[in-house]
Amino acid sequence: MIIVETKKIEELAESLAGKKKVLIVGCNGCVGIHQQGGERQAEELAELFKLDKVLKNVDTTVTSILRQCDKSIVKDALTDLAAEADAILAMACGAGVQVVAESFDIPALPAHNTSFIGVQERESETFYERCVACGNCILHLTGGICPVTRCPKSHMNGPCGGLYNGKCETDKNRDCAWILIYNRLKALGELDRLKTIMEPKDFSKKTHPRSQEA
Amino acid sequence: MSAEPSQVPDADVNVREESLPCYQCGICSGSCPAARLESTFNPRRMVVNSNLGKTKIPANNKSIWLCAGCFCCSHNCPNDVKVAEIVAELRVEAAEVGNLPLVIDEKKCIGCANCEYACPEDAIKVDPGTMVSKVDPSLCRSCGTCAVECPVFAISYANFDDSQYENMIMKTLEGLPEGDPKIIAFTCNWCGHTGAESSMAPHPNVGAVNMLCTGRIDPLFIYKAFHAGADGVLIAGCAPGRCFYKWNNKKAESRTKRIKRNLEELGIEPERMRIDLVEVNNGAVFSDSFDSFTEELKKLGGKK
Amino acid sequence: MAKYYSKLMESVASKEFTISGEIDPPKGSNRKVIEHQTELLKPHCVAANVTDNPLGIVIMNTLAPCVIMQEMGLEAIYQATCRDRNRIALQSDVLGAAALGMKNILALSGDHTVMGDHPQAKPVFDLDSVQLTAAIRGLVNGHDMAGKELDVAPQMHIGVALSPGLEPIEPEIIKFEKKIEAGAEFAQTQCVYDTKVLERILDLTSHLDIPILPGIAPLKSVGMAKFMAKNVPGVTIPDEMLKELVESKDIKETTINITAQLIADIKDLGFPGVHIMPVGMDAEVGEMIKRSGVR
Repeated sequence: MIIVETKKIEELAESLAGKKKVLIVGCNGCVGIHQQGGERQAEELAELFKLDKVLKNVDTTVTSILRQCDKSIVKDALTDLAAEADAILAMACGAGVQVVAESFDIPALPAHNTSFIGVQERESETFYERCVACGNCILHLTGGICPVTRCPKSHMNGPCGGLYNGKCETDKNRDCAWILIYNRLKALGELDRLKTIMEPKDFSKKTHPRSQEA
Repeated sequence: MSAEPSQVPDADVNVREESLPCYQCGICSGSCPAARLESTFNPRRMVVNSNLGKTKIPANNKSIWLCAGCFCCSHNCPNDVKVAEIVAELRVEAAEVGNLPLVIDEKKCIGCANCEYACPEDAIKVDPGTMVSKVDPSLCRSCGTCAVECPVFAISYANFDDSQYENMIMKTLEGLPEGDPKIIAFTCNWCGHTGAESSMAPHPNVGAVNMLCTGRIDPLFIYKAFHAGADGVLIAGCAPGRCFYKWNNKKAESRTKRIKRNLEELGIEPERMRIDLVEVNNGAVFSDSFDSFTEELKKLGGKK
Repeated sequence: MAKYYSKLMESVASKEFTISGEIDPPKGSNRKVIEHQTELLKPHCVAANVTDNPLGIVIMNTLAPCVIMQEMGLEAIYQATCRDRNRIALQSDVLGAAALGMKNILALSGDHTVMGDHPQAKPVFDLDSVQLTAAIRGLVNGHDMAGKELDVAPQMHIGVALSPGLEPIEPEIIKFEKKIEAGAEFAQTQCVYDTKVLERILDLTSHLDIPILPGIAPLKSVGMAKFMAKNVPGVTIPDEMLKELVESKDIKETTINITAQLIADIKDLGFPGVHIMPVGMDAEVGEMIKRSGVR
């Protein structure tokens, strides 16, 4: 799912400068599920605004919708509320914010920084990036572990010389993706897969902005 | 008694006949932590009613769900009446007529399973068929952490819903004298309450809001307390590893971390928020903490 | 006999014990630094590497020192990393380097940008070292990665890196095999101080027909030894070696002796040569080689 991080209050205050009536919209899609931008987080943000010396003067209305990346949901649920507001603070990923922005004539501002496509590990309360949407999946060759995402160098053919005790040169706490892949393929009895040279990735498939027929 | 005080007892034993020796001494109610929280929860009366043949729990009697299965009643009964087991049986009957410990708004529920992950008792689960959360009333111990974890406010409690707590916070704040820094202490009904209770009287600037568990403490309560004029907020819970609800004190701790981070971003000193996780009956620790907290808040002065 | 473009490969092929050196470009545009190092290494090394912004720390580029060295008569081993250049830049650099007379190229992944002094930089890593090796092989064979023909193909020998001390070593060996399959002709290794590690790598690569020059960097102090063992992946320092350094009365003498012994051991084990990274001891390289008795 899409993982986001709420912007600092100060930054939000800056982007909302001059706005008197703000509609805070939670998104109960990815960011809601991960407790980063759903109805509760929208309520919490409004409560935090009340504690801020600048933002307390902003008149906030809080609502939340099923997901902000769907224009018809956005229009149905928000048209009336948006008519009453100077700006919309969208608690969605970057895609959701843009759908809200193109749906109304008032500014739609992002409440989050969009971080990555990832998963949540409940124990450590940490999100981990798992996919960079490269447009050319090779997970079938790598034991279900993505080297493009999980190796900081996106190496395709094995570990680099920065491998240290199974960890990555960029972070001593980060597992080397290629050691994970090696161990996994070994366990699966598919180590031979490692022996085939993987061709360079086709980045033409990743040229922004991408589109595809549904 | 051999039952472990870690789960609600099985209700399928024929316990009612064994309750006949009850002579209504009331030790069960007196020792009941749930009765301390809510006076309408009365184990003695439930035993008496059972003995009188009046076993049905009215559908609107929600306090029955406050029983946390601690077995204090059964342990302390001089006549070995199985009070906790009777309560458990009554709960099963209550559930049968739709009286449940918590209400899940199925239209709101997004099937995210945050409640499922948070529940220390495995009592709430996303139904794979409907993709909506469902509670197993025989396992729920009403700690309240699922409601706090729900990103869409789909879970509300039969006892002590959000507005009740918010009222309690406001009332408690109103009752604090002007002058010294006003502190709202959220105490869990176990170690936190028993420890903090004895320290309350000498600290008139501290107002306690007692909850079944620290897991129920909603960050919104804390923001609202600050907004309503609290100078400091303290959470009093069980010692690490000793939470009555397995891991809820840990959860409260991690929520506290997040809240402090948010306060700091707002320019509100994170020191205005504290969490004390202390062994049961440790009044002295709380007394010291109240003192030092009051001193610290005095130094910080009024909120900016 | 196969035809070789470079003295390095000729030397290896002639079964002579081959010694390559390494030059660290300066942080600045001072060509004297390069000239000085070249003067010191030229009498002792067949060729010398020029590093490509190691750790991602900005220093003089690779090609300029290579040209200066070759003008002065020391053959260069041009290091190319995947960190800062995509496949277009890498290929075009190789073509340019060949036009300037480069005969050896070492294809590396490169350290990640976050390791260096410009951690904000965008890491490229369009290719990895295996793919880079294949790309250069393609150029040497007369076509670019898109399959387009070159008017004149570069004449170069491709080297690759090997880390003999990594654990587990199997994926490193598999990758090394792929590098050879992709067209690598020689290999230089990460620093090795332990003969057991050297013996192991000989054993593990015995089925591969490629000259491997073990890398060594003189241990200039106890601190450096401990730092290397702790921070450099795959580097272990034998206890006796550390003891020798700790008990040394004349650290420079000890360093020269230890390095000389290592060079001798490497030859005795049957490696075709050695790659010396002088790390500032360029002036002592000659003495190290002399005392090793390999020549």
